[in-house]
This record gives sequence, C-alpha cells and structure tokens, in this order.
Amino acid sequence: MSDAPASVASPSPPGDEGRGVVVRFDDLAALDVGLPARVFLPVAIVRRLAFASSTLALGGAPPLGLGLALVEGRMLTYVALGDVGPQGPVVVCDRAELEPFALGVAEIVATGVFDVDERGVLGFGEPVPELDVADLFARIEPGVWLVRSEGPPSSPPPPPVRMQRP
Amino acid sequence: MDVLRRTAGVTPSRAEPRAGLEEADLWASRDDAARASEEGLRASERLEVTSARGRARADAASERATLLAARAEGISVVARRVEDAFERLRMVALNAGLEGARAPDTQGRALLLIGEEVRAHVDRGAEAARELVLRVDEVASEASALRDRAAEVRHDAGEVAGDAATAKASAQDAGRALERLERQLRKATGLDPEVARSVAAAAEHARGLLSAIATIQSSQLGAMALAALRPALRPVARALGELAVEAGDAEDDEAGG
Repeated sequence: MSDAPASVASPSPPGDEGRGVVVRFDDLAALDVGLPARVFLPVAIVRRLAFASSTLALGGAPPLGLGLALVEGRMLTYVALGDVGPQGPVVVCDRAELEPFALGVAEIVATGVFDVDERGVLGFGEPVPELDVADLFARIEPGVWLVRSEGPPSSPPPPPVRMQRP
Repeated sequence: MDVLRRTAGVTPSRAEPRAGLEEADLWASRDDAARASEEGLRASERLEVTSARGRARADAASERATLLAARAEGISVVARRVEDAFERLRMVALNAGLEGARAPDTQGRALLLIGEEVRAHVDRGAEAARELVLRVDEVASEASALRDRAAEVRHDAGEVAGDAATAKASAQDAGRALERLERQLRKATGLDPEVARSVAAAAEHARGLLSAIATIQSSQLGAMALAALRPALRPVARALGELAVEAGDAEDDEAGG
C-alpha cells in the first residue's frame, strides 16, 4: 500500500530502554505498510492499556485507519492497523503537545522490562523495534483527506437558488 | 345331503360330484383370500400404530435435541463471558506490568512479578475457557445434527404411516370385494359357506382315507393291518353305505318322477 516502509523510532531515553509494551498488529496489514508485526512502545509514551468500548472510523489510508474511540469513558483519537474490531485492545499513548490517542492493536503481547540491543527489544524471536508514532501520524493524516477528496460525492450538489423578482 | 353324496363320490354316474367339489374349492379359495385380507388389514393396522409410535419418539428426540442445543447455547454464552472476564483480567495484569516497568526498580520489580504471575494464570484460564467454548459449540452442533436426523426419522415414519393407511384401505377394499364375491358365490352355487367348508373338509378327509388304505394294502402286512382297523373303519363304511342307499333312492325318485 505504502511507498516507503514506516520507520521505527529513535532509541528510548537513557534508563528507559526496554521498559514498555510489546504489541502485535495484524500480520498482513503490518506487511502492507512495511511495519513489523510486533513493535515496542516505551513507557514514556504509554499511559494505559485498555479495551475500547466502541470505535468510529473516519477514514485513513487503509489498512491504516483513523477515527474516534471511547476508552474508559474518554473520547480519543483512534489509530488502528488492520481490522481489530470495535471493542479490541488499545494502547493509550501520549503525543508531544497533543491530546493522547488510542492505538488499536491485534494483541498486547507483554509488558515489563525487556533486554534490548541496537535492533530493538529481545526475547520474542526476532528483535522488536520501537514504533515511531510521529511517522505513523505523518503517514495516516494525509491519507484521510486523500480518501475524502478522491471518494465519490455523497450526494449531488444542490440546484442553484433562483431569486424570484417581484 | 346331495352335496355330501357328491363329495363322497357315491353317485359316480353323473358330473355332479366333480361340480360339487369345484364349488367347495371355490368357497375354500374364497376363505383363504378372506383370511389373507384380514391378516393384511391387521398388519396394516399394527403398522399404523408402530409408525405413530415412531413419530412420537422422533418428536420427543427432536424436542430433547432442541433443548440440548438451547442449553449448549446458554453454556456457550456463559463460557464466552468467562473468556471475556479473563481477557479483562489479563489487561489488568498487563497494566500492572506496565506500572512495574514505569516505577523505580525496587517497587517496580514487585509489581512486575505480580503482573507476570497473574498473567500466567489468566492465560491458562483463558485457554481453558476458549477450549470450553469450542467443546460446547461442538455439542450444540451435534445436537443440531441430532435434531435434523430426528426430523428425517419423523418424515420417514410419516411416509410409513401413509403407506400403512393405503395398505389398510386396500385390505378393506379387498374385504368388501370378498363379501361381494361371497354373495355372488352363494347365488351361483346355492351353497351355504359353512356347508361348503364341511364339504371341502369331507372331501379332503376322504382322499386322505383312501390314500392311507391304499398304502396299507400295498404293504406286506396290509391285510393284517386292515383287519386290525376294521372296527374303526366299520362305522365309516356303514355311513357311506347309508349314503349310497339314499343316493340310489334319490336317483330312483328322479327317474320315476
């Protein structure tokens, strides 16, 4: 789907390496956007893990989707990779100087303090790289408008209003 | 008496004896047909009862299978709730692990250990719940298949009942046809069915007696055996003799008249 694979983030701050969450995306969707199926999210950006009560899709660049999610009583921006269902697990993440958002995933694999090397978190077969959230949004936000501008009009334009002369 | 005479063959001068026997055979055949028809009627009635019982049992089996499927569905719903509860508990354990990772080493380690321990138990419980859901779904599926089979059995029993009803109607038709035949026979032969049956029986016994005597006569000890049988045969011979005299009188009457 995408021209370039999504990049992974720069290493976590010193002392925070390996502390965080390992999540799994839908394999095919991840392959489609050039992401590994498993990614690591450091504690610095993860607020909480939860299930969405409901989600509302607004658009996106499939299989990357953007929308709204109701999570533990709060309405959040929702970003998902692939179809994770309306009440799937989400990782509530912080964005610098912006509102937190909910990242929809196929599975939250593990939390804790993991061994790391320069390739990522170890202990899950292949090393698990850290997800670059900024890059994710950079890829998804233009996609929303692209889909909307290219999509068919939802209804025909209204006829011009004619003013009746006295 | 005329019939008996004809049956006993004491007036061999005319064709009447053979005609009498044929009439008796006709009646005997009619009786055989009536017996077969009656037996067919009873069998079809039994078949009707049996098929009705089969349908009732199939209905009961279908009802049980429906009940079983409904209960399996109920258990499945509960098992899914359990599975969901485990999923949520797993999320709690993961959040404990997250907070453990966020906290300083000493406090964090304890949280991490608790989170890990809980998650391991939850994973096992969730796996068991998923297994339970699968098994219960299989039971529901089997119950549904059982209900389908019961419906097929019910359908088959219905067809048997239909065939039994047809067979019963046919047997009843045959019975009515035989009644008509009896009336026509009575009209054509002038014989009472009871007398005809006795005639047929007398003819059969007479043939048997003659055959037995011939067999005895042909044996080496035949003369001795017949002498021994004389007391038993004498009343028969006397009766036949009287029949012969009566038959002769009747012929004389007919000739004189």
